Amino acid sequence: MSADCTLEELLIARMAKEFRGEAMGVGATILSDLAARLAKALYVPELFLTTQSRAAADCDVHAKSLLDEWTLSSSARMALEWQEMFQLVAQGRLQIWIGAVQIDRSGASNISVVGSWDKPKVQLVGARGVPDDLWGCERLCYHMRAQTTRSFVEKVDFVCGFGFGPDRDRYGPRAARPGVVVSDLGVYDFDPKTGWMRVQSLHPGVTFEQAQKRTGFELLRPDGDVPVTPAPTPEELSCIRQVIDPLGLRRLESAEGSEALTLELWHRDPNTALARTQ
Amino acid sequence: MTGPMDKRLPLNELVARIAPGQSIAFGGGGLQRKPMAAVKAIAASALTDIPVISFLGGPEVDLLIGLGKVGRLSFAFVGFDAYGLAPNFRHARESGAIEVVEYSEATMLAAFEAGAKRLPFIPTRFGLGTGILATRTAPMKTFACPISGETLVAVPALRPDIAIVHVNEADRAGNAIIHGDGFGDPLLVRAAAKTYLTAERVVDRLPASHHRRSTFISRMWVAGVVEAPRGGGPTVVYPDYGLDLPRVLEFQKRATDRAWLDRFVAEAA
Repeated sequence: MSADCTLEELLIARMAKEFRGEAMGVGATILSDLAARLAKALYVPELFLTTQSRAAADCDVHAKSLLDEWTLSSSARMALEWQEMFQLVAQGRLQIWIGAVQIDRSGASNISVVGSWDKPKVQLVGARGVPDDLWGCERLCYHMRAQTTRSFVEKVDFVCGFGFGPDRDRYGPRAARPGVVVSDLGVYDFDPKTGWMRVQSLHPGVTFEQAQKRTGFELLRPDGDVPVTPAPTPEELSCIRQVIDPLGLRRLESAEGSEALTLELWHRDPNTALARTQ
Repeated sequence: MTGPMDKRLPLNELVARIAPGQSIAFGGGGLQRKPMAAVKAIAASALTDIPVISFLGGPEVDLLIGLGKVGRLSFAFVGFDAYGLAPNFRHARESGAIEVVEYSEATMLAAFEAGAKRLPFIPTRFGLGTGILATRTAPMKTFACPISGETLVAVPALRPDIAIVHVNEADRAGNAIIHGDGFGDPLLVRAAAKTYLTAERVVDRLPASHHRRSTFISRMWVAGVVEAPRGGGPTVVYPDYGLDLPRVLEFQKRATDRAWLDRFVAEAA
C-alpha cells in the first residue's frame, strides 16, 4: 500500500462506489458500514442508512462509534421495524455488503458452518439474513477480510446465498446475482458468460500470481494488463479520517485488529462514558 | 369493585410458572436487550431439556447451552455480533451435543407471523434455493403457488409456549416501551401462548405520549411483568446502559468453563 493511504481506506473508498439511488445502504462489516457513510456523504445523499441499530434509521452521516445507537440517535428520522425492513427488501430496495466466511467460484456464499451442517467442523453464526437478502437485492456484494484458499473456495460448505449455476437457472432472475467481491488483495466480479469469478482490479503492489495462490479455484484474468484498484481521492480520505471515522474503528479490520485494540477504542469512545452514566 | 389491573410478579414466580417441556423464546438480538436476569433465574431452576427459540441469539442462549439446559434450539443467528462467535453454542454444535433448527431472519419472522395469525404457515420467497431449506431438521417446505404457479416456501407457524422480552419501561397492566431496536419482538409476543416482560422500570401507568422511534407492546399480549433493573446486562439496553464490553469478552473467553459459568449465573444482574 502506498504511504498516502492504508488498505482499509482504499477498501472503504472502493466499496462506496457500489451504492446508488434511494435505497437502504447497509454494510455488515466495519469497513463496508463506513463505505455506506462515505457514499452518502459524497456521492449518494438520498441513501437511506440503516446501520447497527434499526431503532436509529435514516440518519445523517455521523462518526462511527462502537456505541452507534447513542451517536446516530440525534439525527435518525425513524425506527425501522423489522417487518417494514423485509418489505423494503422484498421490493429490491436493499444494497448490502456482506462479510462472508466462504465464497466460491460461482459467487455462492456461506456464514453458517464450515464442514457438514449435521456436525460442523466450525459452527459460525448461522445463515442470518443472507438467504433473505438473496431475494431482495439486485446484487449481493461481499467484503472478504482475508483472501485465502480457505475463504475463496471451489464450493461453499453450506449455501446461504447461491451464485450462478443450477439453482439460479431453476429459480430464475428474481434472485440477486453475485455483484462485487473485495478482499485484502483485490476486487472481483463475475464473467457473465461463464458465471465465474474474475479479477476486476488488484490492489497496488499485488500480482495476479499472488492473488491466484491465495484462491482455491482458477481465477479468470481480464484481457490485457490487470487494472490497479484506484487510490482514494484527497476528498475521500479527509472524509474518512475527519468525518466518518475520526476514532479509527477501521483499524479493527486491519492487520493490527485485536481484542486489546477493541477495548482501547471502547474506552476512548466518548459514548462509552455517556452510556455508563445513564 | 376490583382494583386496577396489576400483572406484576417476582422473577422466581415467573420461572415457577414455566412447566417442564414448555418452549421458551427470548427477545432482543445478539448483544442487545437480552433478558439476562430471567435467563439466570431459569439457569438456576430445575428446568432442563428446554426447547429454546431465539431469533438472534446471544449470551442468553449460550449460557443455557453451556449449562446443558437446552434440548433443541431454533435460531436464525447465534453470536456475539461484531465481537465473534458464541463459545458454548459452537462447542455444542461441533461435538453434536445439541439439536438445532436453522432459520433465516425473514423465515423466522414469517413463522412468528403465522403463529400470531394462528395460521399453519406463511408463504414467502425468502430462503428459496438456499441451505436452510435442505437441513435435516428444516421445517419449511416448498410448494407451487396456487395463484401464480411459482415455487414458494411455506414457513410453518412457531408458537412458543413462553416468550420473555426485556423492555425499558412497563406499566402494571403490561403495556411496555422499547427504545432500542425492537428486533422480532412485536411479532414474537403475539405468536407466543404467554408473554412475560422483564422491565428496567415498572410504573403505575405509561404516559399517553408519542414515541416516534420506540416500539410499543400492548398489555393485550402480556401475561406478566417483572421489575428487573439492569436485567439486560451485560448486553446493551439503549439508552439505559451501554454494552459492558469487558464483561462480554470475558464471557466469550471463559463461558465454556463450567465453574466460571456457575459463578456468572449466581451473580446478581
